[in-house]
Amino acid sequence: MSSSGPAVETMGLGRRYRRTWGLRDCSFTLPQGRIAALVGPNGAGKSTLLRMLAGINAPSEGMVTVLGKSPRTQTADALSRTAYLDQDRPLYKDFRVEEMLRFGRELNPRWDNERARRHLEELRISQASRVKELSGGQQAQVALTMCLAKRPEVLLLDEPVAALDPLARENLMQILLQSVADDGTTVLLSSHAVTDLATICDYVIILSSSRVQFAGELDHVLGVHRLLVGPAGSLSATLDGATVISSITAGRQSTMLVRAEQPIIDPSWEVFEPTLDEIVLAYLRADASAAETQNEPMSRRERKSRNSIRIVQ
Amino acid sequence: MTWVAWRVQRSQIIAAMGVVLVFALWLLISGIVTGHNQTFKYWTDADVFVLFALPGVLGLALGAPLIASESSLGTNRLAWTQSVTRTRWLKFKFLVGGAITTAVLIALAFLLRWWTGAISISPFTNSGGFTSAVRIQPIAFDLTGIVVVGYGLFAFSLGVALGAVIRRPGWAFALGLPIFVAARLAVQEWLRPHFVAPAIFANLGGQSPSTLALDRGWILHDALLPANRLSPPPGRTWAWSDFTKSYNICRNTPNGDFAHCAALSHLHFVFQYQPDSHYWALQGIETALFLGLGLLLLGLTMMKIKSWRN
Repeated sequence: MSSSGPAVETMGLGRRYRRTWGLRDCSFTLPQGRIAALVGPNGAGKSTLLRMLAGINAPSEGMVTVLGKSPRTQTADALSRTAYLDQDRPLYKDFRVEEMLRFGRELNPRWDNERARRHLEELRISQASRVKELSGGQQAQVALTMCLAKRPEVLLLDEPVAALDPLARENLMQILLQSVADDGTTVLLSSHAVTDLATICDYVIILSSSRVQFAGELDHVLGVHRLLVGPAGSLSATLDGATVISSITAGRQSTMLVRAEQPIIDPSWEVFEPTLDEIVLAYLRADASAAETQNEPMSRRERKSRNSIRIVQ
Repeated sequence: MTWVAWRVQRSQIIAAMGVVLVFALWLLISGIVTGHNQTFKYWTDADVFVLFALPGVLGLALGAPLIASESSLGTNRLAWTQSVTRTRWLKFKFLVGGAITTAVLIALAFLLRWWTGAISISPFTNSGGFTSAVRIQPIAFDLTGIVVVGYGLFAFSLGVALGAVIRRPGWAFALGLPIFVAARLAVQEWLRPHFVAPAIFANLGGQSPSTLALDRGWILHDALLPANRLSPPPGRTWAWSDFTKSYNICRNTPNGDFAHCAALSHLHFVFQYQPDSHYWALQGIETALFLGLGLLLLGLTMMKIKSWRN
C-alpha cells in the first residue's frame, strides 16, 4: 500500500454541465480497505462523481484526491492504482475477448492475466468470442474482469450489478470481498440495489439533489437513524436534536425517518431501528418531494410545510 | 501499445484501403486506356475534381475516426483509465495512424505520377490543348511530386482535430472535406505564387512571345506595360488596363504588324511567371507548409485531450 491516508477524499467538489450542476458541494472521506456504497436516485450525480475520481472529467470546483493524489496527475503509476468500470461498460466491440485481455496486458504493468482468465472461465465466457456477440451481462462481466485484472488499490464501479443476474451478483459480491481481504482494495460502487449492498458494504455515501446527504460508516448510519411510528398529525416540535428526513402518513398513522444523535424519548412515538434500505429510501423520497416542490407550483402554505420536512444538513 | 493502436484502428484502415483500392483501379484503367489512345490524351473535369479531393478523402477517412469513434462509443473512457497517460495514448495513435496514412499516400503519389505520365501530363508538353498540363501549373502541380503526401497528412490531422472537437466521425469527415478544399485553393491562389520570387520575362520588341520557358512555366501575370517598366507602376495592379486601348489599336493594325505598332507606342509585354526550374522548390515549400499545419492541428488536439474539458 502506497500510503496510509484515505483512499478517496473530496472537499466542496462540484461539476457543472452547461447550465446545471451534476454534483455540488461534495465532501467526504473514504478510508482505505472499505467497501463503500454510493447510493442515490437517478441524476443525483453518482456517475459524475465516479468519473471525476477516475480522472476522466475535471471538477469545476473543489478538490479531490485518490490515494493522496489528484486524479489530474495522470501519471502512469497513479493510473495503475485505480480501476474504473463505466456505467456504459465501453469495450471494443469488434475485439475478441482474448484481444481485450491483450489490450489490458499491454496497457497495465500490474496486469494479472491468470486472474482474468480464471474469472472468465468461471463465467463460461470463451476467449475466442467477439465482444459484440456476447450478451449484455457477459459484456458487463468482461468489463469487470478488465478492472479486477488490473489489481487496483482503488476500485471504482458504476452500477456494477445492473446487468447481472442474481447469481452473478452474488458471485461479484464474493469477488469484491475476497479482493478486499487479499489485497486491501478499497471499493467504491454505486448502485440502486441497496439490499445487495447491505450485506457487503461497511461504508455508505448517500447522494441526492446533486449533494452528499450522508457519508459515514454503515454502523454509524444505522445508529443515528430512527424510524418513528405514531398517530397522524402528531408531527411535533418535541423531537429535539432530530432531523426529519421524510415522513409518510397512511390513514391515521404517520411513519417518519429521523436522524438523531441522541436517543429519542417521546412517548407519542414508537421507535424502531431502520434497515439500510429504509434509510436510503427515505433520502430518495425526500429528494423526490424536493423535486416536486421545484416542479409544481404550490400554495405558499403548502410549500412552507413541505420545507419543514425537508432535510437540512 | 503499438499493437493496441493498430488493433483499435484496424477496421477503419481496412475500410479506407478499400476506398483507395477502388480509386487506384479506376486510375489504372483510365491510364492504360488513354495511354493507348493517341488522339485523346486528356482528363475530364470529373478526373480533376476526384483527384484533387483524393488525398483529402483518404486522410480524413483515416483521421476523423481516430479519436471521434472512441468518444462516440465511449471507449475513450476505457482507454484513459488504463495505466497509460493520455499523452502516450495519443502519441501512439498519431504515430500508427500517421505511418499508415503516409504509406498509403506514398503509394498514391507514385500511382498518380504514373497516371499523369500515361495521359501525357509531362513537364514539357501541353497535350490536348489543356494549358494546365504542365507540371508547375495548378492541377498538374497538385497531382505530381511530393505535395500529395503533404495534402493527405494535413487532411489526416484535420480529421483528427475535428473528430476531437465534434466527436462524431461522420460529421468530422463531412466538415473536413470543404475545409480541406478551401485550404488547398487558398494556398494555390494566394501563397504558392510567392513561395519563390517569380521570374520576369519581358519582350521589348512588343512581340507576343512564345518561348519554351513560358510554355513550361506557370504564368502568374501578364500585361502590356510602358517600355521602361517590368511591373505595373506604383499603386497599380497587373489588371491595370490603361494600355488596353493602345493594345487594341495595335492588334487591329492591318498586316498584323503588331510589334511595330507596340514599339511605336513604347509598350512591351511583361510576363511574371514561375519557371519549371522552381518546381521542386515550390513542391518542397508547399509540402512543408501542409505538414506544418498538420502538426499544429495534432498539437492542439493533444492539448485539448489533456486539458480534460470533455
